[in-house]
Amino acid sequence: MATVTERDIDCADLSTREINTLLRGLADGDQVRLTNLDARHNIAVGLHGKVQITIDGDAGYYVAGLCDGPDVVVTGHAGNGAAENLQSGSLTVAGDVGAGLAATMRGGRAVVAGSTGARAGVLMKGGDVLVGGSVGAFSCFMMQRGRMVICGDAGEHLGDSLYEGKIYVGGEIASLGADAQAAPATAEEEAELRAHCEAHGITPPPSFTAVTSMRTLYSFDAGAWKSGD
Amino acid sequence: MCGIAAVWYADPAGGPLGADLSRMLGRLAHRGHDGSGVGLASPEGLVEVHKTAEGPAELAAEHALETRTGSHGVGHVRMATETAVDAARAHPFTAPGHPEVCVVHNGHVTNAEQLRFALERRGVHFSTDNDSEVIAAYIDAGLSDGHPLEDILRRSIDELDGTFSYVVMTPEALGVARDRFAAKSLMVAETDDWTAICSEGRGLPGTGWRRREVGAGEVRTWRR
Repeated sequence: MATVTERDIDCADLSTREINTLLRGLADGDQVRLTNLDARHNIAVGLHGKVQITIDGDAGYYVAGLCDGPDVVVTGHAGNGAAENLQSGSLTVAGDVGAGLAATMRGGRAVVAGSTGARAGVLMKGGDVLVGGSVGAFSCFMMQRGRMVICGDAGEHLGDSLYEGKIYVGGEIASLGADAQAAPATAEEEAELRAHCEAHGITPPPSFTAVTSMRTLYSFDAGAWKSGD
Repeated sequence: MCGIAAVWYADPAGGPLGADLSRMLGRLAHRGHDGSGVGLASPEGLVEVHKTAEGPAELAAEHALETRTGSHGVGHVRMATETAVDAARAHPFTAPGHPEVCVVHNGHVTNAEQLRFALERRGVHFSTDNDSEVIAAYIDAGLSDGHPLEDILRRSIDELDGTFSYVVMTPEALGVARDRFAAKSLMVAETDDWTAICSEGRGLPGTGWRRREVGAGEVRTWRR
């Protein structure tokens, strides 16, 4: 019978390497709470497996980046590059995060109750991002797949040069990027988004605007490329 | 990289400025090992600058920062990228001839030489080859021409090329500006009693208040 560990790790006297070594040693189902982390960078990065990690307080840069499986919760704020290149699993942040949330994310879910800095979701290749507040400039630049739901406002150049994927904004959009277009979300989308927000404890806005690609910047013939012509 | 810290107390009588800046810089020390410095403003309108090629702990010890009070101030830890590692090139940089205007900067101004040449033609004599000194002189030139600080900072978004997040301090004001690409992180936290500005959240004092990033191309000032 597998043993599941539930424990607190006091990080006050541990180096970042020591903390991450402990996290790498966790087995599927293990649950840990990191205390006294002091918003250090590069915590819970590159982890595999279904472990649950709660960071008590703030996290620094790149929290839950490059992960494939873990569910990471931050009870405070997080810094730049949170959930960057996430493969699967989740990051949930109770506060705000810095720039580059979920950049190059390929799968999994990132939920931020507060707001983010610039460049949220740039180069997303999959996954699901939910932001309860607003996102900064250049968010979803060159997004390729996945979904970004923003309950508040979006900064300038939203969705610039996005290929595919879908962005929903509940508040004001400062400006759209090149090749991005906006339209009201459909009734089905609205219903699904409301349920999505409520499922994560986030109050949905009255309505959403959907932002998608106009596909005028595609620079290659995808069909020809696939057939090898 | 570099790290920026700044504090503005709502009460004009000020607060424990040296201790607050020192603590913030200590928590940003990983962002730069090539120097540190502070600019301290007193309620009487005096500005003094202390800087060193050492780290924030040495700076604090040398200048007894724990005991220093003030109305507002700035601090910096430096990671040198272009110019020599010495105390003269540590931040804050003061405007040539006007030491009451001082700047802490994170980034790289790529048209600094153009601006330097234009300012030299106005009679400005620079003491270093550092691009951050150019920012201080640029702001000072605008103030000397009678422009409001906020207008100068707003104009700097267009006229400074490259990446920059900077904080400028005068005896009666504090201002922040961040380039249009928001390349260099900068956060602001505010309570009824104080405003703190910092490169990273971990440098901000305590928790329990809302913090946010300074936006791309955003400018903001605080004034008495």
